[in-house]
Amino acid sequence: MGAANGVVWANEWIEAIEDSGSFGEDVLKAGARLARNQSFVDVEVAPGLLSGRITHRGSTYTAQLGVQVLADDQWSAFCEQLLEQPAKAVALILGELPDGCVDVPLVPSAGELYPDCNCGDWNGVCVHATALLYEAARLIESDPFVLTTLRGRGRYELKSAIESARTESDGQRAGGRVSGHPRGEDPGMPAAAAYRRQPEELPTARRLPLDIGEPVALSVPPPVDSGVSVDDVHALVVAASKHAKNLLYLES
Amino acid sequence: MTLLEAPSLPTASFTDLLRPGLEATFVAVEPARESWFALWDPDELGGLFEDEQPQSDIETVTVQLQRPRTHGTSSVPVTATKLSIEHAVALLARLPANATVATSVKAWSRVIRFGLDAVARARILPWVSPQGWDTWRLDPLDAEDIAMVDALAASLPATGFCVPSAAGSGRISDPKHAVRSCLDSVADHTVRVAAEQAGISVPVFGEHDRLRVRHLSPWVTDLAAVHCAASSLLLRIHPPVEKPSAAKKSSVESVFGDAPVDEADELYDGRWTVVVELRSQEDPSLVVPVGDLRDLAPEVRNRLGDRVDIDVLVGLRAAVEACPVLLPLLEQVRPSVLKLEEDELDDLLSCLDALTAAGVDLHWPSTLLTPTLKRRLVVHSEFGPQSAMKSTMGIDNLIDVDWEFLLDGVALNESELQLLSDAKRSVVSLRGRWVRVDSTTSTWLRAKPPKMTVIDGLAAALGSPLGDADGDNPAPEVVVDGPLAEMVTRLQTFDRSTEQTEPAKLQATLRGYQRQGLAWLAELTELGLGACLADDMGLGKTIQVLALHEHMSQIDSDVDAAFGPTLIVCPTSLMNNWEREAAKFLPDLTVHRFHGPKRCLDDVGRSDLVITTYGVVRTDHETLSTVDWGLAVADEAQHAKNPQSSTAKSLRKVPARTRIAMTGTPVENHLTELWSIIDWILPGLLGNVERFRRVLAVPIERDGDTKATEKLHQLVEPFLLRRRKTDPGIAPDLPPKTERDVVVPLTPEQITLYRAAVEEALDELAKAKGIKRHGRILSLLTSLKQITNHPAQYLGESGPLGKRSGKLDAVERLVDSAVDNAESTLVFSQYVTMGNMLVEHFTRRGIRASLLHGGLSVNQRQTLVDDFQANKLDVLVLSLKAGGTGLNLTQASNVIHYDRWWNPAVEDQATDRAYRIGQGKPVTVHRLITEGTVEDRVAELLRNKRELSDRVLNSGASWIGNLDDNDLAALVTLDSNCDGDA
Repeated sequence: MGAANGVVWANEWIEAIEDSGSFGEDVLKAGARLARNQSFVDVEVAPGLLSGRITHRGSTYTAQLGVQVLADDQWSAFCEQLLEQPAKAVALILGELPDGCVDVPLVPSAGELYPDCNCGDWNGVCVHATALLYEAARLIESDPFVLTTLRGRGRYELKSAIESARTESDGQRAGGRVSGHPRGEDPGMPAAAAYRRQPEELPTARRLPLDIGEPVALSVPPPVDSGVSVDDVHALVVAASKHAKNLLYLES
Repeated sequence: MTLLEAPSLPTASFTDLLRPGLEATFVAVEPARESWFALWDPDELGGLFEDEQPQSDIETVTVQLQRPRTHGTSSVPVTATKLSIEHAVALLARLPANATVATSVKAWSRVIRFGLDAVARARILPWVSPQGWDTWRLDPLDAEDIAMVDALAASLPATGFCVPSAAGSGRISDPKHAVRSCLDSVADHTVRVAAEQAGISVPVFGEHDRLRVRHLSPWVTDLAAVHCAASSLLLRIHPPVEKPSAAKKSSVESVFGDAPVDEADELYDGRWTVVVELRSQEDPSLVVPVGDLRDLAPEVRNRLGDRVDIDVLVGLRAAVEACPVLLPLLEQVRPSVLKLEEDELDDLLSCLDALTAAGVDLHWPSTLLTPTLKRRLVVHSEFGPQSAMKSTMGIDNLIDVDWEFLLDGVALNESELQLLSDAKRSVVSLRGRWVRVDSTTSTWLRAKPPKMTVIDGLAAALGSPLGDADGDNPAPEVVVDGPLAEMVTRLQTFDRSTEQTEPAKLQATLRGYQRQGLAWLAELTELGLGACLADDMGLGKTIQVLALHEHMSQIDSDVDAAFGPTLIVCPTSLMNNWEREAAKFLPDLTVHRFHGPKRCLDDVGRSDLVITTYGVVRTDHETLSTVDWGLAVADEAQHAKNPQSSTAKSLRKVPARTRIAMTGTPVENHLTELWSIIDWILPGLLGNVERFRRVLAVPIERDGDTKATEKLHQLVEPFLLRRRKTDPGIAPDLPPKTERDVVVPLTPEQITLYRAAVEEALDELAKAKGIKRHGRILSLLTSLKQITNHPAQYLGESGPLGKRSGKLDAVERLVDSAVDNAESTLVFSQYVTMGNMLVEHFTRRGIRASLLHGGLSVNQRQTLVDDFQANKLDVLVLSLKAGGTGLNLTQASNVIHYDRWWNPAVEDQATDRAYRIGQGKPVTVHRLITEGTVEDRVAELLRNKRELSDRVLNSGASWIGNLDDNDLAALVTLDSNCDGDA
């Protein structure tokens, strides 16, 4: 889900750069080519700043991209918009960056971008910095919240903001049963009492329905760099389910 | 279903690891899959097991457990076997419900099975342990599951969770927490093992090695929050409201809760209404429309969780993805109500499966009296008591079957059915109510009734849960009509105290319970069905069956076609027994032996008896099928207990009007065996064996499911008759001691040795005279006795023992049967070497046996006797020469004389006096005699010739030493028919 949505954001990012006229066509093409052929290492995404190192013609350079962060009131407006459209609010809670939020431009204009590099090329924007622009697009495609982070707010910040806003406006007071069955610490029990009490009769097992059907798909996809995908998890669950079923009915 | 390979067990056997008395304590470890069970003996703190050497691949550890003292408790070191989760699952998942193990073991076995059940339902989620390891947890659990967890925790004795807790001194694990941890361990372990076996390679969450995945904590927390939400979504559908009279208006409005009712027009606009509601997971009876959330009292609201609004949104999104028609709900800032046109309702109803998969329930309000469409089978057959004896109709004939549809319990007529079939919409107004016409309904209406035979109809009428009309679906209700219904009633109401007087020609007076048995057998035979006679050994199953044969021959004596000949199929060792009893009780009966190289069935008369063996049936079932058998009887029917064996398959191919199975083992303890026997008697009554295992056998044997037990009982009870020696009406009837000869065949190895020994001796004797002769004869006899006992005894070997001696095979069978019936056995042998072999053989097979012999001190002997009397031993092997006086062995129900001395009557009296056999409970004495050998001949002589027996009584074996060559040869030469089939 995140990936499909990311393409839209990545394309908007690239459009903003290419249509702005602020960067030369040649250097853009060169940067795109470099980003395709070489990989950036030590990439860091932080509010307002993207940086990474790339090797070009034998030397390694550190490129940086300053990004104008959005003001607090802009972020508030963004959240408010989402809150008015439950479909989008829940999309964000589940790890997607919903598009189509007008009024608050998430994608920065060219003027809000400050590319830099330590390669010593003083003729406008160098090829390494341009390559970083395309690298940013690639990152955004796999995780659109890279965009929001660069603009000042990460995914979990936004998620909490939406969740608490909804919960507050809902009139919810603290004390409700905590969702998610958290596994707390073992509270323990006095041993003497345990030995004194009389165990109850063993309960009869509940019978497995003969037709179980497929397990429910994960609704929250794993993060991109986790090393596991939705399909992986699904495959594991299906395999475990079949294995357990066979074990229950295996001949002794 | 493909069968898995069983997970590898440690080399020690099941019985070693789970001795009665051992406790199991769960020790939780991070990550969950590394948790383990400590198996320890509460009576032997600090010591190793008494009798077994620890096997090399089972770890013994010292673990601190909190144990009770005179005052309070304290933490003590305990030596225990470490049972990993992998081994625990392998062992405990298949623990029978009636195993004799400590409660803690049983309880953890239930926990593990419940865990597997939940994994099978895919209730697992990836998780990150507090220390940051990748693991899995067993979640989400619904209200029923949570109740089960509570019940399991409440059933655990303290020994199951007495690991000292860090929460404070004198504290141990909380049982509920321990159960949840164990369930998580089962989940964590099962995923890894399943991935390995399926060849799936996912390093994170999918392999056994630990991985640090702290960076995934936020994700798994999110996942849990969504999948284990405190409340779930429910969509309640209200049909269009008809304009009511003014008086009804207020009650209708109250149904809709907080839904805005602006105009009267809006309420009565002919559209369907979907109301979004929330149901609490922990208390499913708490259901609240989301529009009313603000008005709830805080304590009520809290039971719906701490993020109610988010749960609603997340639930709705899943619902919208499953069913796009619901999208307008997500466009409302506070979603609560949606109105639908009829075609939109169709769309909604077509997404029902997708919605359920997404965790969203759909409900029709109970206030509108939701009708449910049910269907059932109506079954009619002319097969009944009257037609049964005519040979035109059999139990595998097809019967008339029809579907009947019911609305609110009343059958639908033609026009109503037509209305349903023609319906283009998903809902139809029928009899003033709304009925849903979904894909199931359409399938039902189009479905042809299944093909059912008489036996299927019979099974259904007896309430079988195995009916297979739709493959895996539960059986539909069945209503039985006509003569078949009559038959079922007769079956279920038959009074088992009815007695049938024995036929005049039977040369014996039947005891009361045997007359009852005869009446029961006759009833089932006359109904054209089948029977399984499972009386205890020694109660006279043979004579009851012989009486039945004669009874059936008499019934049609005035009609041209008599009932038909009877075929008895039995183990080779019992053929003689049948012949002898038939000769004794029905001397006019013509008995044929269909056995041996020259066998044939040419002159079998219609009222004759034919005896054959399982081996012959295996090879000659085609020949046997050419006879029109009346009764086919399988004696010791457990010989065909494996449905896959060629014996069982061949047995099925021999047709007969009625099949009777005889067995002395309690078949209800071995359900797959029961299936095999019942499936032979009444093919198809218990369906196919896989389904039988799933629906009945496993729930009964492993889960202790009482409902399944009852269903099985209802289904097979009419065809099973079992009386025990200890039954009130029977015990006084029985003599204290019943004796029988068990004639067993020699194995090929024994035959070779026997012949060689005889040949060699006779050669030598032709030349020897006098004392030398006497001695040579006696040494021959000793050799022959040893050979007939067991080749290993004769050859001086220590093993292998199995399958080399007919006597050993017979003893195995007898002892197994005794152990099954929870009875104790004494085995007598003259030879200590044989005694030792027997004890070793039994012990290896998991039977508790010991040898009482001359080398033991008086105290040691007394200990053995005490153990035997206290039922700590299943078998006590005695050497006759070790007998002292005054040893009390009244617990014995079975006595086996493995080999004989030469004056049996004297020896019998001595043993009875010495051990007071028969004074505690009725005893069956089995004398093993090898067929066609000197033992057999001597036994025959003793039976028939008084004078000889007196001589023997007085002089021991010396009379044999004085026989001349011819007489001797006659005594020792092996019978030629011993080369027959096994």
